[in-house]
Amino acid sequence: MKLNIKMQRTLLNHKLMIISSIIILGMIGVALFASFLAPNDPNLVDIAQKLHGPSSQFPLGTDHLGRCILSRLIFGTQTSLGTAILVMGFMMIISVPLGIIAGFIGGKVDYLFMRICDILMAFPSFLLSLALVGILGPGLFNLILAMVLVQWVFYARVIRGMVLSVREQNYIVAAKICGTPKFVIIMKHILPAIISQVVVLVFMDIGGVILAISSLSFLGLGIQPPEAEWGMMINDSKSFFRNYPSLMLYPGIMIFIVVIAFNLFGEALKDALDMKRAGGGVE
Amino acid sequence: MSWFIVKRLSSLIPILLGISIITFILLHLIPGDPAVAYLRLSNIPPTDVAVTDLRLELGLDNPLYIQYFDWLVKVIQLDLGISYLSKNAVSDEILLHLVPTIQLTVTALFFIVVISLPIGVLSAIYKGKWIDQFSRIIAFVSVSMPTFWFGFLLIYFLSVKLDFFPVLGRGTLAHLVLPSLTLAFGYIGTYIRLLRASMLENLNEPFVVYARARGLRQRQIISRHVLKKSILPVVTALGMSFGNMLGGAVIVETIFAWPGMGQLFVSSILNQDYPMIQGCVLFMSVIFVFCNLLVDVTYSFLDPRIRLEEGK
Amino acid sequence: MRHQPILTVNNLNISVSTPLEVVHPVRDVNFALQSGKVLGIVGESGSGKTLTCMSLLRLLPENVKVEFGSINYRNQNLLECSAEDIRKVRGNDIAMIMQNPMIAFNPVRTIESHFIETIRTHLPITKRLARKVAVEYLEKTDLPNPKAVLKQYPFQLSGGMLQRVMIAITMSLKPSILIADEPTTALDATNQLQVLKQLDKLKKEYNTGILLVTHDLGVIAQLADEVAVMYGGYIVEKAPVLKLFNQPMHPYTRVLLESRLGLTRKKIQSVSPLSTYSKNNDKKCPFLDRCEEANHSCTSYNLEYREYEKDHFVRCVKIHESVGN
Repeated sequence: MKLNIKMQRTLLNHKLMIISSIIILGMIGVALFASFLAPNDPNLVDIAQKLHGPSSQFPLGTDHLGRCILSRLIFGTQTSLGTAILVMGFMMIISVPLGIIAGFIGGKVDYLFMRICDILMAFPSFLLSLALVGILGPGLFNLILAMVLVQWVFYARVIRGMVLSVREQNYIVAAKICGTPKFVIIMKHILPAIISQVVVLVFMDIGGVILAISSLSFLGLGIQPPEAEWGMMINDSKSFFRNYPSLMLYPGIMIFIVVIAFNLFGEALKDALDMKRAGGGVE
Repeated sequence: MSWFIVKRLSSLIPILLGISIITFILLHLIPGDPAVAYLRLSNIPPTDVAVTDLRLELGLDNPLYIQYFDWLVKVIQLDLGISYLSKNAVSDEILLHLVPTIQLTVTALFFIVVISLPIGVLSAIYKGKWIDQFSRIIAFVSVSMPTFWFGFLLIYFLSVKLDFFPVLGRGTLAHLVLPSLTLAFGYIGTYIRLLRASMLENLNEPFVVYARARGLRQRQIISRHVLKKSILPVVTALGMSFGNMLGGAVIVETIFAWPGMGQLFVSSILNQDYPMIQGCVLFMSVIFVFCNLLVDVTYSFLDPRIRLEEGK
Repeated sequence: MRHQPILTVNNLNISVSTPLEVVHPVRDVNFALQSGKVLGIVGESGSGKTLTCMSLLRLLPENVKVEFGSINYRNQNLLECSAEDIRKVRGNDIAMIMQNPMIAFNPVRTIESHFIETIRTHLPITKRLARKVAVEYLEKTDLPNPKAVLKQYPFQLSGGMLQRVMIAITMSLKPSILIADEPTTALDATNQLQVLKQLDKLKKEYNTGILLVTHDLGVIAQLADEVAVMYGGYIVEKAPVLKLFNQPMHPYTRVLLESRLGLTRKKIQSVSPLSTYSKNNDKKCPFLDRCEEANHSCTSYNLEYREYEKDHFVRCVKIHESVGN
């Protein structure tokens, strides 16, 4: 009997999951140990050494200010991943409780929540983030604030949807009838029921968050120089890339790899969860 | 039908009001006194007298709701204030930059549809075959690629190395290809997978079995039956994507020196041209809202269930 | 005296692959259909009726395969002809009426477009003419205001109306065979009667042979000339309709008839449909676990399908024994 497609999918998923998690863990490792791994000071300007090719001192060469590209890439891991994790974390801190409250309590609270969502979602979200950064002024803190303030609403709405779908399940209705306090129901029943979906959501979307952060930095509105960040490195290389394409190539590849690793991981996680929910799948 | 549009239009009123309130508040988030900021940007020393005069002139001493009301009345008359930077009316500047952005986004939409439609359909029909695997890879690459980097890659390889396309600026149709392709690329993957999933959902529906049982040709079944129904969620999603594309246009226009709203917006942010920032956000949001309305109306044309049920 | 059958099915065996196993929901099915006659197939859900129907036009889902057997229509084996040949047969020679009319039509297309595309696929005529044909056949099914019906979308019509539209589409191509899979199940009593009338008309006017699949013995009694009873993927008994109703032989048929007539309090134990499928290749009487008359000889029975009387086939070892060799 030939191996059925679902089984092949599962195996493929396992492989993708392993590969992508190795990349993600590797990147986190690089970020944590950046100061040990980087061969040079990433912010050390040396105009005499500018735009050099690869050498033993600078394995990937230097940029227009004579800074070590490899070291900047390594330190860039810290800023890019760190910022993305912060943004995602704050968004969850806001949207999980709000989504649960709106979904579980319903009624007027939910109505108000949905109207706020309607209005916030009527803005093109990236533009609103840009405008906020523009008005608050560029910088890491304002960038995080601008992204969280605009985007939490999308997550809160999805989470509200998850709560709605578990709210009517018998065991939760039963808990309500027994007079279990709302807070207890939320903590003991609702939260555990949706938490895995929320985790999947986080991993599916963190790639997009990384892209948005690097886009803002690329426009010069995010992390400020001299701090290294991949999007900003591409921005720096704007005027030189025709003659020195590698200046733009390396940071782009870094962003691409990290984002695709997160996306693959998220997708594999989602498939695994779907399979679990579909009732066992094939083990 | 017209009843449906009226109903939809009236539901826009609270949303437009909400948008106006948020954009109005936006300016009040500026750190410090806006009057001081205005004077500084106009190169006038912010003396106490000058600040007091200006506050009076701009009505900054009135309560917030009166300020909002005054502002709203002006906005409705398309008076969005004067740009700090160019000293022109914000609305004039916006209208000037609007056409290139519309060109860009519409061409990008065209690319999205033209590229993802056939690939999405084929990967649903040949599920699990090489084309499906290929489309899965394309999908991951497209959503994981930073737009600005992809734009530079295109410029470097297709313009600088191969000289196929002009590098920067706006002019001929050839100038439009790379920017709109860059803008479209990030969405192509999403739409391939969306269409594929939607097709797969419908391919095993009883109406397809019945169509086959009536002896229809495979092509007919796919195009007239499956695709016609599967395209519906894609239409809705395109409306949502349009807002994101306006955001993406900011980046694409910066890379390709495309003189549209995005460039205007970025330069107004970098120069702290607050009335312009506000005007751009307001204007693009309103465009987005009306685009979604357009999508809803289109949808109701494509899906008779909506059109006829709503009318009852 | 027998007419030459227009469709013969020999030794049809169907397998379904699930992620866990391969099951055989249809086994050793044999029957023949004659022009202008109605062959009824009865059985509970999961007995393999629908899969048998679908296999005739090669409309089985991807994971379902015909293992072996042959389906002969006018000197060609439908299982072996090219995809294009079978497509031409569908609708034109062998038509089909679907189980649930409410979901058999594409909700975003009008009745007219369904009708016209079917006619124009098989006949080289203009749209305008096809529309005229459509109106003509809708009138034949006694649908009020056919022109308005054509302009409507499926969800605007009732199940009964849609079923009649399906019959009208079928009629317009004058097929030699109609496969009607539970044509009345989704309908209320009045509409059921209407639909049965239309089917009868089709049979008489165009000499169409009808394969009528149902679990409703009342429908069978009204329309069928011959009946095959399916259980667990096998045809357990087949006979002319009167004979089957008057002298049911197979224990399952007897229980079925008794429960229908309310003559008995005995209930067949309900068993989930999947468990009645034969999971592997062991040959075992499918009704063994639920049969009240089973004895030791049943366990070693080779499931021989025997013509006990003229045109009366039974698959039960006890009948074979009692009749003697």
